[in-house]
Amino acid sequence: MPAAERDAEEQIVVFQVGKDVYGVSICHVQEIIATQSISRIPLAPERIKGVIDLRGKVIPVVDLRQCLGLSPGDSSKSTRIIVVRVKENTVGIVVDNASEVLRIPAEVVEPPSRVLTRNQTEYFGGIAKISGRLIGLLDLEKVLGPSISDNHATSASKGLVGAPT
Amino acid sequence: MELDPDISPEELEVFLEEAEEQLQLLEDCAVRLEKTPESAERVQEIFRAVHTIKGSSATIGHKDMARLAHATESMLDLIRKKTLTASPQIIDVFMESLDALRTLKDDLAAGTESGADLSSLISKLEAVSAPKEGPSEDGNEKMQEAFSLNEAERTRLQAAELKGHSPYLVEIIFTQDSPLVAARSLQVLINLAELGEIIRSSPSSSDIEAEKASFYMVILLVTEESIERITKVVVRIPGVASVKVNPWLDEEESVSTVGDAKMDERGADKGQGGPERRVIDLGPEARGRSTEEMLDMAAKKMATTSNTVRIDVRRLDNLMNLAGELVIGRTRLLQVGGKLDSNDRKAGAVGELAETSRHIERVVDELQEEIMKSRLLPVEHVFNKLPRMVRDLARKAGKEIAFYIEGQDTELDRSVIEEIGDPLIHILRNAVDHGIESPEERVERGKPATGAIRLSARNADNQIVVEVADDGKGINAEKMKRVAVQKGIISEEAARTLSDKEAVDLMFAPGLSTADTITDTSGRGVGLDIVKAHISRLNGAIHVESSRGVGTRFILKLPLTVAVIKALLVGLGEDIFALPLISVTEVLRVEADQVHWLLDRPSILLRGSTLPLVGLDEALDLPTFCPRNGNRRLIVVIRLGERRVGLMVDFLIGEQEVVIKSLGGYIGEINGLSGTTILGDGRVALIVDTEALLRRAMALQGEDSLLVKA
Repeated sequence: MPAAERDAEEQIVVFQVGKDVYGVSICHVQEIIATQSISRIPLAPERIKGVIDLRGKVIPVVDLRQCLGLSPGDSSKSTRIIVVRVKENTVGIVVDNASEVLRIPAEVVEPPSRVLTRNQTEYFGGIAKISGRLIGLLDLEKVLGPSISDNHATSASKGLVGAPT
Repeated sequence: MELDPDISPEELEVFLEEAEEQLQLLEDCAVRLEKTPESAERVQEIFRAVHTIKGSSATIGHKDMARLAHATESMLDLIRKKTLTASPQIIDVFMESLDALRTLKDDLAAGTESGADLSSLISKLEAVSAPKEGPSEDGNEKMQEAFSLNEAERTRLQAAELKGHSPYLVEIIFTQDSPLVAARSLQVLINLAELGEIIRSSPSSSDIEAEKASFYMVILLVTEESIERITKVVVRIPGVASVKVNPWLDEEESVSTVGDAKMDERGADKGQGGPERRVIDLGPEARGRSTEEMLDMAAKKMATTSNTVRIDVRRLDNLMNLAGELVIGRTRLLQVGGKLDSNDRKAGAVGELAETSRHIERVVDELQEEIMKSRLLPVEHVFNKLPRMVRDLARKAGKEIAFYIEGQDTELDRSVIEEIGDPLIHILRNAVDHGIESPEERVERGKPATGAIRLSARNADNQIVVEVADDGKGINAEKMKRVAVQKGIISEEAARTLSDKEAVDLMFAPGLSTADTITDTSGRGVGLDIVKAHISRLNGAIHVESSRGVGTRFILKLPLTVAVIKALLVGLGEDIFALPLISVTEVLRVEADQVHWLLDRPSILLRGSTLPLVGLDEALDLPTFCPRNGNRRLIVVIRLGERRVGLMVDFLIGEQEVVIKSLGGYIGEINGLSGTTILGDGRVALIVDTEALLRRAMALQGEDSLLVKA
């Protein structure tokens, strides 16, 4: 986002996972889809719930709570998948609902250290206090894990196998 | 070294590709020229290739390369005209310049400067050639480097020539202190334009307007005026220090204008939107021939010139991707059609839908096949550099080897072609160093002193089989076992139970080398473990057959296409897995009482031999599900080389062609899985890596795994 706008306000997509309320910058959000059957990947890292077929592309789907180091919550209500794009990776995040896009002015955002404990702060870019709610603004690169930036190093499965994702 | 600043990265890319092609061709011809130095055809080929390099390097402004190519071309021209014979010394000089050209090209590609000493090489080339021609012609030739005409320019030139005009090269030098060089240059262009047509100028008028004028200018002018007139016109312009006008010799005179003229005369096809006109370049041999001869040559050339188009490999990859998507889509379409059909036979629309989807299915199948074929290249591409390598290796090792190649036209997907080069080199090195015995040894054994190595490629139902066979001393199974035990790759007991065939497979274990001396060509170990890893990455397989004292045969099986494989879909609980059909031998259903248990491991008797059983979930390390079929077990027998394992699954879905999709960078590599695929109903199935599975299975058995992980 251009510097001028950054200071003014951010547009974020707000969603809920269990009782927690989070937000991600809209520039990362590709789309929000209804949940579909997730095919499991055995032996994949814990936080990866599996993969889905998104119009012919195979997209990994993560469990946000696992990414944040929390115990897996009650997933029965999960009705949406937010598809985000971070550094050449397209990943889906399973959430309970995602209906709002809010404009967050810079003034209402506090640094995470004020509200959270030491080891949780790295996942957040800030905490927004708006209309009486606390929204945790996620830093997706940190949340999704080290393999996000390291994408080119890890050769996806067997070398030159077929179609790129 | 600076290039023309106008060169775009794409143009540079194209240049590098073309130069590479020409250089490879030259290297190939060079070897053959050594054997038959009198072959006029060979010389002609070489001449043309060097000529092309000269032209294109001049176009991008690589002066060094152009100069070198030019000098080489001059020498070749003399050979071509039989003024000079291709003696061994001459050929040596030619080889030198080839190496230098390659160095220059590689430097350009890598952005480095290896500082080759070109001037001494060029002097050598010039010294070897006939005495220098007159100064003006020499200068003319130098200038011709700068002008390699493109199609449009050549057409204009020919059109003007048809009118009876002649081309001249006008060289102008402005006085050093001439202040308005740009203006002077433009003046030259304007004045000359009045005399005729300017095909090209360096700097061009756009260059001049962009303030890129220089004190030196060259113009290709087609005019009916005389040299004196042209000179007079230029000299009149203030600021001109000197001017030289010479007739321009276009070495690539095309014959098409003559041919076309003939066609027009006949008038048969005029006004009927006749056949497309093609410009056929007959090259320098066409000079001096009669029109009839030229037409003959043109016809012959048309017959042999293939209609090809250069295409970026990435475009092909994209097409491949799209084709894959279509395959998935059509499977879904079929499924939907199937669902409707069974429910509502009455509606006519349903019947139409079924017919339409069948039609689309046929078209998609064909499209997919065509795209797949467009990615195919003949193996010749890889094979052609091997004879030279084998010859060099044989000489170094002091062995006499006859190298035969068969099936060069066999086609492979281009990505596979790129990857099998290295494995083949490894295998051939092995054959030369360790396979074929020294001439003395061979004679002792009653074999001909010259050993034979045969490389062949052939099609075999949806696979390409490449074989490297030698008549050397074969693989010593006992020795293999011994060394393997020594190096701790297998245990003593395991070694005892190994059959000879299995012992030979030990070759593929890393760190194994039975060479008494490690030669510099083979390096440490045998490297076959890498070869094997390479081949399995391509979804192929490699086996070796050997007979002591008789010879060895490496058999490589490669898939025709990398993106789609035939797989057997099986289900385990809620998950679906795809097993590459290439590894599946059979599917069985057994009853609980047929299963034997030993040391907590199940197995069955299959036609007399024991088949160990492993649950698919077990092999993949999944939480085990209760089998749906109660007492019955569904076994899929997979085989890799000599080893077989029975995978226990819950249900079978069937055989299907699946499009391989990678797991993606985010998930990364997962041991046991080689990719994913999207099924007709949108579910994602996991493609199993059968080799990893087999290894896992054997580890569970507690066996020393012979297929050691690289």
